[in-house]
Amino acid sequence: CASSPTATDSAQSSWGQRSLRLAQLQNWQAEGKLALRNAGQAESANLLWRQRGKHSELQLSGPLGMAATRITSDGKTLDIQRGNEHQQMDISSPHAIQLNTGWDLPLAALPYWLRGIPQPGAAPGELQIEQELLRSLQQDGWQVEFQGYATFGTYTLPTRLQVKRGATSARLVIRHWLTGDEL
Amino acid sequence: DDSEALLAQLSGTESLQGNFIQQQYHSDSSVAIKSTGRFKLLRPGYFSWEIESPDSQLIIATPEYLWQHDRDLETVTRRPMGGSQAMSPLQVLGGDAAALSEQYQVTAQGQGRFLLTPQAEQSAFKSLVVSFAQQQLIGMEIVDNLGQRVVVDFSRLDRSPLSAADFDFSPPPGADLFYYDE
Repeated sequence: CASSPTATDSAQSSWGQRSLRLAQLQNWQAEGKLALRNAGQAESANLLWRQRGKHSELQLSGPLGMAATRITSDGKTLDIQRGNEHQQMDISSPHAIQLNTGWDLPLAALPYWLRGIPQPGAAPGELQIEQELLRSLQQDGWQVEFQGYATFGTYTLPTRLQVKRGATSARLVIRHWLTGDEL
Repeated sequence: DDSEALLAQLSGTESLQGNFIQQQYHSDSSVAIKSTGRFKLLRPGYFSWEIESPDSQLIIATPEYLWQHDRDLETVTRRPMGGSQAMSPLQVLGGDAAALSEQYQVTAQGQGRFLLTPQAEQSAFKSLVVSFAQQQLIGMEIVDNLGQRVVVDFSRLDRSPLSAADFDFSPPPGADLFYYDE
């Protein structure tokens, strides 16, 4: 019975189908919380992340609406709006975000990792897949751990992630997902 | 301005605790994100704000430190209180008279409502309305830095005396700690 697909084969193909379907999901919204940490700072905030194709909109706020901030990006430029303060920056060069904000953040990769798939193009290191779900991933020097999943509509999506590179770490808890058809 | 009148209302209560319901309205949607929890105030200088649902987070302020413990994210940050960081709406309620009148323009709006507008250019929110009924704090309404409304209603208020010990906090084992230095 050597020809019958082994467990890993069937996992591979349905992981293949699943990850393709997730990659094709262009419009989604994730609501939850984010904690960022580096050598000199630690911040946490409520997070509303809306994605339309390559356009990201992040709304961050502390308890009682404190320090509410809106970040928008089309992948090339990044806008930060806070009160009447407005900052725009070109983020096409790799370290642009860190130079401007002090935070080393994988903004281009996060929309993929949030959906539980690697960023296309950048060669992923070992992917650890169990029961068709991505459990951990190394990419571009980042170690990404997927610690929880849940089903929302017809998609199973991460509800808890941890992302680390050097002194920077981010923790995300996502309570609610809205995907393409519901938006 | 009317900070004296506001201080008169606030000074009536040295200890106060109760429940809160917070409704946060995103600027482009009428749907409110609701959260509930408990709070404690011991004037001057102590407050505790515990969000119990849908997420789990505890913020405690003493005259020395501002603690923020996010139980879902398993993080604890501690900031020195004397720091320049902007006053939060809660510090306004728990804060001392000098800080209140120095950092805000206070205008009475009638029926126990006071509008507080931060004087500082850089502030954590745009405006705050604090409302009282019969000398009792009943609610707050915050307009955040993105022009979004956050409405807080207080209930089951209890004035029995609190002490500093009610605001003790020790980080749980296993949490990711970050202490901002003095």
